[in-house]
Amino acid sequence: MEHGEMDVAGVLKEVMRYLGDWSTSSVPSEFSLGGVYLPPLMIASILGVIAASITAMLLNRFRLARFFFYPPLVYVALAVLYTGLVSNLFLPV
Amino acid sequence: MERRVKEAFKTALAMVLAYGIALSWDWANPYWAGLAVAVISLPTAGQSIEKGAMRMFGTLVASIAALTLIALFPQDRWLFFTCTSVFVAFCAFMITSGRNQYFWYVSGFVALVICTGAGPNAENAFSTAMTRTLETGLGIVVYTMISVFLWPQTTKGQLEGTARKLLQSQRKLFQACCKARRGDEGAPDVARVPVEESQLLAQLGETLNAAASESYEVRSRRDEWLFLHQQLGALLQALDSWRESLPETRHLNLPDLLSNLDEARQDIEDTFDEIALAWEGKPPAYEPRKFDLEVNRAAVLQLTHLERAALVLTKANFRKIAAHCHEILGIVRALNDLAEPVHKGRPIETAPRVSPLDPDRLGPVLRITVTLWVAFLIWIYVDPPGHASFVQNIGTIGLALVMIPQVRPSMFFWPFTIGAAFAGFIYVFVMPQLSSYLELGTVLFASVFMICFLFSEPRQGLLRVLCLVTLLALTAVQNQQSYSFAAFANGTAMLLLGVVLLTALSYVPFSPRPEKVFLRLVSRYARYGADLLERVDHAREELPHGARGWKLGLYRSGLKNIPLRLAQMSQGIDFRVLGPESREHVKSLLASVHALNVRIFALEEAHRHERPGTLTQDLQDDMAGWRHALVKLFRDWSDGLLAETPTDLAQRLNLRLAKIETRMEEALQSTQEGAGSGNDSYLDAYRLLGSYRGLSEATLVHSEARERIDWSRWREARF
Repeated sequence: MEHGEMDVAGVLKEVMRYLGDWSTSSVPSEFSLGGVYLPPLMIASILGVIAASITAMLLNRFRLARFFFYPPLVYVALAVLYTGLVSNLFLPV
Repeated sequence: MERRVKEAFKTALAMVLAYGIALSWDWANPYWAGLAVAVISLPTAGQSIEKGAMRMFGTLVASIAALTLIALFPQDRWLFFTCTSVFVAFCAFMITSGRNQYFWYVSGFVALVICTGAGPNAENAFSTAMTRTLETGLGIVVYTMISVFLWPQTTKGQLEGTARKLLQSQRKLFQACCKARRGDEGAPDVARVPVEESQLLAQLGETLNAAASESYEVRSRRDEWLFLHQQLGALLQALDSWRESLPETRHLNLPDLLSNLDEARQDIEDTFDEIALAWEGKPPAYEPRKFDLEVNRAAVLQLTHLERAALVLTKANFRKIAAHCHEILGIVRALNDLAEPVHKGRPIETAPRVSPLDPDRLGPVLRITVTLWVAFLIWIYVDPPGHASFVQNIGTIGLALVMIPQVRPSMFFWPFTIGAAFAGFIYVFVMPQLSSYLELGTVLFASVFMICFLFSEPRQGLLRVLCLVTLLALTAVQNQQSYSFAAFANGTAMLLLGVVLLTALSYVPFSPRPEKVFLRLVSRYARYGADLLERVDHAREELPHGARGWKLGLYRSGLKNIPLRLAQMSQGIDFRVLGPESREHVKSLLASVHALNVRIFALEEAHRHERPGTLTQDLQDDMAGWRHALVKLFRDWSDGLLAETPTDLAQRLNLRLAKIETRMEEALQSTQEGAGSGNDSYLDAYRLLGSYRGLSEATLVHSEARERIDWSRWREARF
């Protein structure tokens, strides 16, 4: 990493540029954060896990998790589904 | 200066010195010295010395074990991993025994660190083991010196303070019970389980070890302190037993039945006063009298047999309370050089051991073994971030979870994230600008001081240690410092992936959610209760050997430990999902489990002291029938079956009580024995009867507490 080149405005610009690219480009590309390149699958899986956690929280809150036989497996399935969804719709992996 | 500023300053200073010395001697991985400082930085010098000694000895044992394993299996990785995991599992098993936990924890994880760090490349194994030992020793010595010389806080004062506070609390409990017995207006609530007293007793035991390692005075009188601890525990037990039996004697006119009751109560009060004076070193002003409570035979003959049984138990409890108070006075006087030691030639009981078959011991051992093997396989076939450190990290956290079972792996996520973010800031933006140890030391001091200052509360201990450990591990200070963002990112990913893997594994095979663990523990408690009650009439026999003896040990230790674990687990339950009143319901369930425990062990004690006699023999069948009814009820609870309602249960138990009353009357007439005759057989029968009645009452209360809980909601599947 090259130190001293990253400032907040630069990072935001990079993020906005990348967000702009998502909708138009289907070519897999790495996620650049201030010169540090992150694999898109990693970003997709992080987002997938976050989305699965929020869903699990809501299902617990509204007592809907009781309809599942083994919720931990459902959680894994949700995380995989969300990761697939994110990588197909937003982040070309 | 504020206490937390002083503590943060001491830790930060020790950290800077430990790093400075390790770097100046060009030792590899100087953060190992820093880790020792971070972990042993405790409020008093004694606590730090005790923990430091355990860390040092643990490191030595681990070094020897790891070098032996490396030497034995240099060419066979599967055998090497098998033996390493067996050693770590053994350490985990010893951690669950509750004795020297930190020593076994360090032995396990340091052995893993050396084995996985040096095993694949055995050339450096010896120097790795020696460096780790040296740097651990360095960290311990530096922090100990600072804690001894800079704003020292001794444990001796804390030890005395805890003992006095506990005695004060016990006196209040005694006074509250006396008031409740008299039915005074505004009498304090005695339904409260003496949790605070139990915590103080446990704290006294822990502080005693720390104070003995710090003060010669305490060490030379260790036996007297141990005896005091034992007597305080026995007094608490007697007070608790009396407190639980109060409802059965509330309607009795005790001063009329026991003519010198007030005199005995005053003697106990005076003894408590005298103990307070003895702590201050004042010469004896009162000598406790040893007298037995006198029974008014004429008044006793008017009572029913159940009332007489309650009276016998109250008398026994009162006698025990007085005896323990007198013993405590003697010990406190001896500790303050006002009298000769009283414990000479008398055995000092140690805390009961947790049975080796307890599922709470075997479960974690199995879990850590599986976790280690999963980590090994991932290391070999996937090569995760951190490589060998991935296994070390998982093993270290896994063993920590064995030591603190109430903590869930997911709780490590935020401390690691905060620590990594902070370390990332220091590593990326600050450290590259530094060029001397003066500058690095200043940054280290400021960082450590800030973390210790922000997370200074005792309940934040885990957060503080984890943040410090993350900071030290990810900044990886060396003499030839190099900077690599990839190394930092890999380190962070390794920590977080470890937490993810441990969280995932914690769901296999059962959910680790506190309410689910609580549910399993409640069920197991009922099962052990049934198992012990089935065998309780054999209590006077010596503890059998072999499988029967092991099983009995398991039930006893299970019944003693499960209420503590239930209380721990109840603190982590999310009551929002279980209904608005669930918190109160759980509280009353915990109180009823405590009462049930007191009664089960009282019954066991009554059977243990039972002597063969006609009267008890006559009642054997009725009591066995009563006991079997309770056993069946406990089994139903354990299986989660819908047991009978508290009203039906009360009716059934009252019928049995009435039957036993009649049988007792018949037996008494046939043996021509009178009340208060002092005949052993007669007293045994009343003691047993009182214990059975107490157990029935406690079972009813427990049944009501269970009835209030919506178990179907607790059993609902959750993420």
